[in-house]
Order: sequence, then C-alpha cells, then structure tokens
Amino acid sequence: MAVEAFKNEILDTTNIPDADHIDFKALDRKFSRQLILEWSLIWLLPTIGWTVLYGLGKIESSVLSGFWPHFLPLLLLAPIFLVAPLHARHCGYAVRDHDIHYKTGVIWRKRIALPFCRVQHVEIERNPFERMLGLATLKCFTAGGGSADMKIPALDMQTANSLKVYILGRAGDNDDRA
Amino acid sequence: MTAPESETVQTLEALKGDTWHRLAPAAVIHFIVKFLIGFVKNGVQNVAYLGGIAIFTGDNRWLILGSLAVGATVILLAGGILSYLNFRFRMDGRSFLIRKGVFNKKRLTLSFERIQNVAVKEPLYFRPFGLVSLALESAGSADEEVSLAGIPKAMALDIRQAVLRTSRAPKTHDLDEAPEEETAETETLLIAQKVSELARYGLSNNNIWVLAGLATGALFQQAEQWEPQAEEFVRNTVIPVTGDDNGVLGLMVAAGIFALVMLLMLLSVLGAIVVNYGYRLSYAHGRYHRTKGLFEKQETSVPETKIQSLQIGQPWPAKLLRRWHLVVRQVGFSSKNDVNTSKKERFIIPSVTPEFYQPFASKLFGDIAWDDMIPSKISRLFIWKTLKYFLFLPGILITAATSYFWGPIGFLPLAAPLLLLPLIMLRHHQYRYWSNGKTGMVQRGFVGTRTIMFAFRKVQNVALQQSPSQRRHELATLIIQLAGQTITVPYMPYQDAAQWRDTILFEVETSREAWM
Repeated sequence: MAVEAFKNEILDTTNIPDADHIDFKALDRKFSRQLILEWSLIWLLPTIGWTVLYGLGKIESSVLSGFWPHFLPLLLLAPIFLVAPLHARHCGYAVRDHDIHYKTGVIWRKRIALPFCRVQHVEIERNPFERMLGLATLKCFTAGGGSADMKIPALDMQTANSLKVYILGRAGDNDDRA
Repeated sequence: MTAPESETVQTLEALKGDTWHRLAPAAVIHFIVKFLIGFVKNGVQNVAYLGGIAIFTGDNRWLILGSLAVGATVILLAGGILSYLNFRFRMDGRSFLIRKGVFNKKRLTLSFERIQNVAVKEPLYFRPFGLVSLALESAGSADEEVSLAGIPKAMALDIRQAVLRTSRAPKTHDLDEAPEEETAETETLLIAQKVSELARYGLSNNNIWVLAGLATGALFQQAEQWEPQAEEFVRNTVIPVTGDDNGVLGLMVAAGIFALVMLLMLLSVLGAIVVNYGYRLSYAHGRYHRTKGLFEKQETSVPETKIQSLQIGQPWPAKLLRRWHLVVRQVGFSSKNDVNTSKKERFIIPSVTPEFYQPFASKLFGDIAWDDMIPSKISRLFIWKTLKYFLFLPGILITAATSYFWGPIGFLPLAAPLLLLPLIMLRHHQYRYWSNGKTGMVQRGFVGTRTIMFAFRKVQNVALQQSPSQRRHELATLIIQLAGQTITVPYMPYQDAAQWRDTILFEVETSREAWM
C-alpha cells in the first residue's frame, strides 16, 4: 500500500507556529518615490493626448471652454501623490526560518506566504526607475501559476541579492529527491 | 548511421543496441489518420475553402473538386509513407532516441526518468495487425512528447514495464512501499465499470448541457431559413390533425423539446460508453493504471506522488442517480496555448458511490473520518456582498443608461438581483470547508456540488485577503495555490483562515515527502 504506517495524531494547535503576529519589515523609503514616478508616467500618456487634442480643438463641449481645461489632468495627479506614500507604507515583507511573507494593500489587504521548499526559481528585476533609485524587485516563482507568485519591490540591491541567495539556498530543502 | 531496411523489432531486447529501428509498415495508416485529424482539428475553415470552390466555380466544379480529392489522396499517401520512412527509434541505456520528420528533421532524446505518463493505445486500425501505439509523455511541453505508433503489443508492454521500473527506482519512499517482486500479480483492481454505470455517467455529466448549447446554437442559426417551411408544415400537416387549438400545439412543442432532450441524453450516454467502455482502474507499484475505450483502447497511468488533488463532483442530474464523478488532478505545467495538455491532466473516474470514493480518498490522503465530518459554512455576509458588488452596482450603472433611454422600463435591471438571490443563497449554502490538519476539503456548487480534496503538504503558496468590511466582521478570503490549480474560500471566519494558513505552512515545511 502507498500509505503505509500513516500517522494522524490529533494536532496540538498551540504547537503550530502562528504567522499572524510577525514583524513585517518596511520596504525602502524610496518606494513611494518610485511609485510616484511610475504612476506619473502612466498619467502622462493620456495627459499628452488630452492636451494635444484640446489644443487642436478636437474636443468640443459646452462645458469646456477657454484655457482652464488644460489643467484638468492635474486633478488626477494629486491622488497619485497622496496614495503612493500610503501604499508604500502598507507594503512589507518578513523572512522566517522556512518561509517568506509579503503584505500589500491599503484598502484590500493581502498577505502571501511562500514556503522556501516550494520555490522553483527567483529573479531580480530592475526597471529604469528602479535603477535610477538603486532599487530592485525580487520575484519568487512556485509551480503554482504562470506569473510570479510573490513580488517584493523596493529592495536595495544588496538586500535583494542576499535574499535571492538565501531563498535559493533554502529552495527544495526538504525534498528528499534533490 | 544506417538503419535496417525491413523487419520490425519484436522484443525489447532487440531494441537495445546501436541500430535504428522502424515502426511496422502499418504505421503508414497512423500517419495518414494523424494528418486527417490534424486537418479537421485545424478548423472547419479548411472545409470552408472547399465550400468556396464549390460555390464560386461553374460547371467544371466537380472536375476541380475531383482532382483536388485525387491530389489530396496522393499527398496523404506520400506524406504517410515518407513519415513512416523517416521515423526511426532506438533505445540507448535508459533513454529513447528518436529521429523523425520529412522536411524538418527532428532528433529527440527522452530519458526514462523524465517520462511522466505511459499510455498504450490500441486504435481500431491497428487491431488487425496486433499493433499498438505507445505514447510517452514527459513533464515538459507537448513538443517533447514521443509516440511510437505501430509497435507490437508485447513490446509496448515491455517498454512500459521498463520505464515504470526506472522512473520508480530513485525514489526512496517508493522502495519502502513495494518490497515485493514486481510482477503483474501485485496489481490491485480498484474499480471496473459496467456499461450501466457508464450510462449513468452519460446521463449525469455536464456534457449534455454542452451538447444542448451547441444544438440550440445550430438551431438558431438555421431558424431563419427553416421558419417558412416549419410554418407551412404546421399549417398543412399538424393543424388538420390537431385542430387550431393552442393548448394542443403547446403540448406538441413541449413534446418536441422533450424529445430533443431525450435525444441529447441518448447521445451523451452513447458518447460516455464509447469513450469509457471497459473502464478499469487498478493500482500497482505507486501508480494508478486506467484502461478504457471502445474503438481506441487507452491505457494511462499516473504516479501517485504526482497527484495534487481529488475532485469529487456531483452535478445536479447525478444527485437523482446518487452517483459522483471523480477527477484526479496531476501537476499541471500546461502552457495556455496548448489545449491538448490540459486534457491530459484530467483523469476521470466516472460514476462512483461513497463506498468507492471514501476509501479512495483515504488511500490518497490518509485516514479521513467521513462519518464525523461536519464541514463548516462560510459567513452569510457572502450573500450580501455578492449581491452588492456583482449585481447592485452593475445594475445601477446599467439602469442609469437604460432608464435614460427607455424611461420606467429601464429600471428593470434593478430587479435582476432579486431574481438571482436564490442562486446566490444556494451558492452560499453549498460553500463548505473542512480539514483534519493534514487534508483540506472545499466544496462549492449551486444545486450540484464540486468538492476538492488536497493534501496540505502539497500546497505551493497561500494568501489571506481582507476587504474593509471583512476586517470589521473578522472574516477573510483564503487563496490556496496548488500546482496548476487555485482554491479560494471566500468569507471564512478570520480565525479559521489563519489557522488553515498556519497549518498548511507547518505541513509543507515539515513534510519530507516529495510533492511531485
């Protein structure tokens, strides 16, 4: 039989480590600056479109007249400066002996837990803004799905590298076949 | 390297060596059938070209179509023969080497260790020759899959034995389990399905509704053309018999629909019997073996360690028949572009009762106290939140538009939530979860149910999510990621969700067994 000598003792739940009260490490303080840069770029593209089209008189409306509609996109820019620091403050990661945790979200909060022994591979990614600020994103992949299962942004290069080395060292740790 | 020009190898021993071998000449049929199936699969649009030719050519259309047919036959024959001539294989120690391809030459090396599944198929056209087709599926992409179509059955079985023996060898825990002699006798039969059970499966699986959908689609497409004829038929043939009584006509329509449903059921039953004829599931040396099929006998095997979850489904028609259909899920590395691989992972065990699935689940996941099992329900807040976010909000948006254009009638979309409320309540009622600290169970459904059971130690990662109202009510949504499958339990009490997460992490991190 496949399941020989299967034990199923009643579990003492007090013995199971609790992942509820762990101290999350804040991300780098430059993270909110990175977010503002990235989101501003996303904001910039439609804004350019708007300015050009309105300037050429392609957008006509009884409400919009004169020069002030040129400033309309600025209304959308303000929330970026408000939300970015808030979002950055609510993200964090925690590394324990056997797993890594990441939390994110201001309103809808999410906490992901990833055991090291399930990690398939780890990547470090840096977009131009991140390179500018000296930050990096660490991506961990399990066999779960196609995209990265956990992305930890705003790590300084040294932390990202040492985390990568540490996680890869622990990956597949208790797989007997390795 | 030169290949022996003629005879087919008969035994596994003859396969080992430096010479390259050919398949049996009957393999030509296989290649032709493969081309044809590929042609049909690649779309009805291929056929549409022929239709186009038939429509846009004049008197000489039969000549053109005829020469096309002759040309296609010649190409098929030539292609089949060339494919056969260019397909060579040999065994080198513990790996298969294969050369194939007419224009694009391809060389494949597939080591025994990487073979995940071995399937022996007996297509109808090979039976007179005593040949079979052996498919070796690796964990990688479908491109790497090797199919030896047209080898003697005895050799196929030998190869399978050899592959299974090797792929088992390096795993220590397997050696502990099977110290006995590796002979065919150690195989235990788990279930052999009678035709009556397969008919039950045909009656109660969801294929009927897929068929019904296709049929209605086709009918609606044709409705416009058929309408005048149907009207004429009713006026001239039906009314003289029944009289111009709406009640009788209504009954006739109902009878027609009933007949159609019966026909679909019959088709579904026939389909189920053809596909699953002679269904046998057995277990030997850490692997589940399954044989089935009327026209094409298929043999598939799944290593027990690769099983990620067990789905116990009971669609609503199956409730009436008191049967459950199981799906054993393996590791899924399928790419999204490849439809074929996702099918490979579905390992269905049709039409079983709790007498089968309860011990079967216990075999897979360890002892489960089925009698004492009381699954927990999710919070009632689920009903209200689903109504609010998925129905009221879109309803209001739609109403804003429709009431503007249509006046009071435009307010009707607001009533939709009320009509759908019973469905959401059913959904809430069926959402259950249960765990014994080692195995988790999540049940979903409306009337019928679909229950997923999985071992905590095979989870890939786990996440907790909370909206502001979930935080207020101390609830959370639990998202469990298995290899190739996501399981979500919404509106769980936070305490339960956190305990599931902690237990899962504990199980994953302390387990010494391989998860795949």
